[in-house]
Amino acid sequence: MKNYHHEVETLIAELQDRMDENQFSTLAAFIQPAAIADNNILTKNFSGCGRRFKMIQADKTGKGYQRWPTEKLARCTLATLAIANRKPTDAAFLLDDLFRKGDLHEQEAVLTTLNFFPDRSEFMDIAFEALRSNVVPVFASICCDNDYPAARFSQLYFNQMVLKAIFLDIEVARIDGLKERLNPQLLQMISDYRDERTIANRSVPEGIGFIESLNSGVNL
Amino acid sequence: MKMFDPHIHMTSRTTDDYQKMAEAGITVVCEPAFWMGQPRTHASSFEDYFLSLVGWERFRASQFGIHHFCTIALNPKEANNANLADDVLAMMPRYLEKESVIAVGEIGLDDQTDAEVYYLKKQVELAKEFELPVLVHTPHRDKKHGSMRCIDIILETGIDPSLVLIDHNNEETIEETLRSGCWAGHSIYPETKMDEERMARIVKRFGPEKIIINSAADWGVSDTLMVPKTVAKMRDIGVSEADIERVVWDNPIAFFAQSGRITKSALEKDVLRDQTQLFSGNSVLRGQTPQVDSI
Ligand SMILES: [Zn+2]
Repeated sequence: MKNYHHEVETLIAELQDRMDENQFSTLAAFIQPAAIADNNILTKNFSGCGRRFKMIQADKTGKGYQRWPTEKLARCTLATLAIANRKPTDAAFLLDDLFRKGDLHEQEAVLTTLNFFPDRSEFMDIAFEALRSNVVPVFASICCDNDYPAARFSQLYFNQMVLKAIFLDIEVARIDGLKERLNPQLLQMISDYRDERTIANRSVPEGIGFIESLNSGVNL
Repeated sequence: MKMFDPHIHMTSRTTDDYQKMAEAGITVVCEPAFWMGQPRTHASSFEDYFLSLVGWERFRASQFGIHHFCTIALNPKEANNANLADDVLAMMPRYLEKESVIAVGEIGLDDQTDAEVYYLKKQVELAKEFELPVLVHTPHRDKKHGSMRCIDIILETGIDPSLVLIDHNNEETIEETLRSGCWAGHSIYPETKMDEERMARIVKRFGPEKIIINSAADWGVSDTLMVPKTVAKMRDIGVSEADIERVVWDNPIAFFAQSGRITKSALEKDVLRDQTQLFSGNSVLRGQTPQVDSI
């Protein structure tokens, strides 16, 4: 089980580092227990993180959380605290609402938050909905740098996700647990796709070669 | 020259339009929430429409290097539908929080009914609460009188006139609009209302101060390139480059920047590159080609 308490502390420390006193007091009000516990206040603040914090620059040369947009750090903090504070069914209801009624950046933040909760199956419908998104950054938020799919997805969904990532030319190297979840069916789908591209005289996406190399044990 | 079309309904347009707009130099658009051409039968249809304005349409625009913003409102026509007006108003605060919402609009008057007046005032109050500017639709019939009535009703609420953009002006309404302290928007249409020739002469005569132009392109006969076409006309009749730039770039930015949600420097960035960088500060995309085909 992941320690989301530790992640939240790190997120808040990074936010404090970036923010001036005024900005941090806004955030402090957002993460008050009463503001986290109330769905109406939380959903409003979750949206409001964008207009309030997006102007605060990330350190593009930093690493990990240092590179994240400020509003994303804040939203993941809010969502994580909200999940921790609720019964599983209530948490799933809230997260589903944040996802469905969120703009693109809000949706990204919801999906990234799932990375802290790979053991929680009640968020699966949100993750599946994200797989159907044609908005690349939203799809990428569940597909890349996220432990949730490898931990929770059935083979059908996992394979569809990988195949769509190849279609979208997304870095498949950033799919967590890909090597562990490789299966003959996925390799067959990829090989069929390679043939389809070759027959059509089109370039073969780099993701195909990468996955085949994972399978053959080369470049590991 | 970079251009900002501050009133255009891209939901009704195709990717060909986006392509041509990008080629003509339009890098920023604002899409006001409006009437769909036929009345909606459920308040929740508004919510899905608002979601598409802050979601899918914004992504679609970004794929062509265009920054997309929107305004949220119950439009004056549907303010007359008592079955859903209050429900739409109740859902608006959540959407007014969203970062790409840069004004309340289109609000205003159409048939000039009591219901329209009531919801116009209510929505100006919402704008004040969220410290947002307002984008105002003025009636196409009884234009001169109706436009003045809109301005009077809005300013009576106590909102600062510099936060108010009165749209669909013409030679007959512009002087009163500017005298009120509001911004004067002009929708340029290929056949009806204002054309690019007349618009160019207005800028020549009145100067660029608080003048804004847009295509108001939608599902009707309209032209998404009306801003660049009017720029060409202004050049033809000798409007200075500095004045042209104020009308199609500086002015709309200055007006909507009052929302606190856009800045000139952010709008000067390449949105496509910026978007791929947005994912945790690392690009996940190998290529940079538009991904709006069906997957
Ligand atoms: Zn319009």
